[in-house]
Amino acid sequence: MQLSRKTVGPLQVVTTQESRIDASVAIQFKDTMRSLTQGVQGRIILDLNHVGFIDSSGLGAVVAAMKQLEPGQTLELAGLTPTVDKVFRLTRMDSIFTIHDSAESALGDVENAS
Amino acid sequence: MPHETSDKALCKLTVAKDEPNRMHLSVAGTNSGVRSALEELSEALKDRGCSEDTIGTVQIVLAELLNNVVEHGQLEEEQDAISTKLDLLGGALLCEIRDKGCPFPDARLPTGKLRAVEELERDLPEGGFGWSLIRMLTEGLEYNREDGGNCVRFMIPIP
Repeated sequence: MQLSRKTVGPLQVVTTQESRIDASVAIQFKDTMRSLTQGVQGRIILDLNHVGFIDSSGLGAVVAAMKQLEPGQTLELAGLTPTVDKVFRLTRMDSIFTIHDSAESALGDVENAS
Repeated sequence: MPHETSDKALCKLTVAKDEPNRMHLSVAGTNSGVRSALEELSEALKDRGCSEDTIGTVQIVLAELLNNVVEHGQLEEEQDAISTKLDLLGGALLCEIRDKGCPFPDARLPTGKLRAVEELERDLPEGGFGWSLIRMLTEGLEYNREDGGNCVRFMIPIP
């Protein structure tokens, strides 16, 4: 499960090179997210722009990643590709997350706020 | 759990002779088998001119139905456990999925009620999405026990 985190200004951006977050990798995704987000403060942006497909297990793993955050952390999503966006919309889980067009626009929010 | 050897195919796509829009996918009863099958099918539909949106919809529906067999079917054999017939017509993809797994409870498919946003916000569920996705994206969904196994038929409209 290829997942990495970097600091971009005040944000943490987690990116993945996996093209599919599905039943075969859902548990690894959830576990890797937990280790990556441990101990970092503030807004964490999960950049899914390389992910072309997510199934309900993958969606559940993203929800689990949000639920396992520590106090002072938030998880936002960015770069949802069409099929991934469709799954979030149809299940109404798009209302649960803040979703940005891209990781760059998430950073743009921060700059505009000041 | 049966031992999965690497030389056995995760999935096999065959096309009917003289009928290029009639396909059969034999899928191993594992998450890897399902992934492999969806990737193969996506390529096959792309070759036949289906849009990205249609291919996405087909993958969403089949992922849920096939994963459901893997997770709940209590399959005795993994190899070629799931047999999928697909017929690509002008306005729809007709599908038939057969497996030798255990019957659905109450001999019928789950209703897949879509939960209200308030409930989702309160509960933050990690599952229970599959059947509402299936029902939203298909028509004519039906289930029968046939030949000692499950048979689920449905149609995915192609705009």
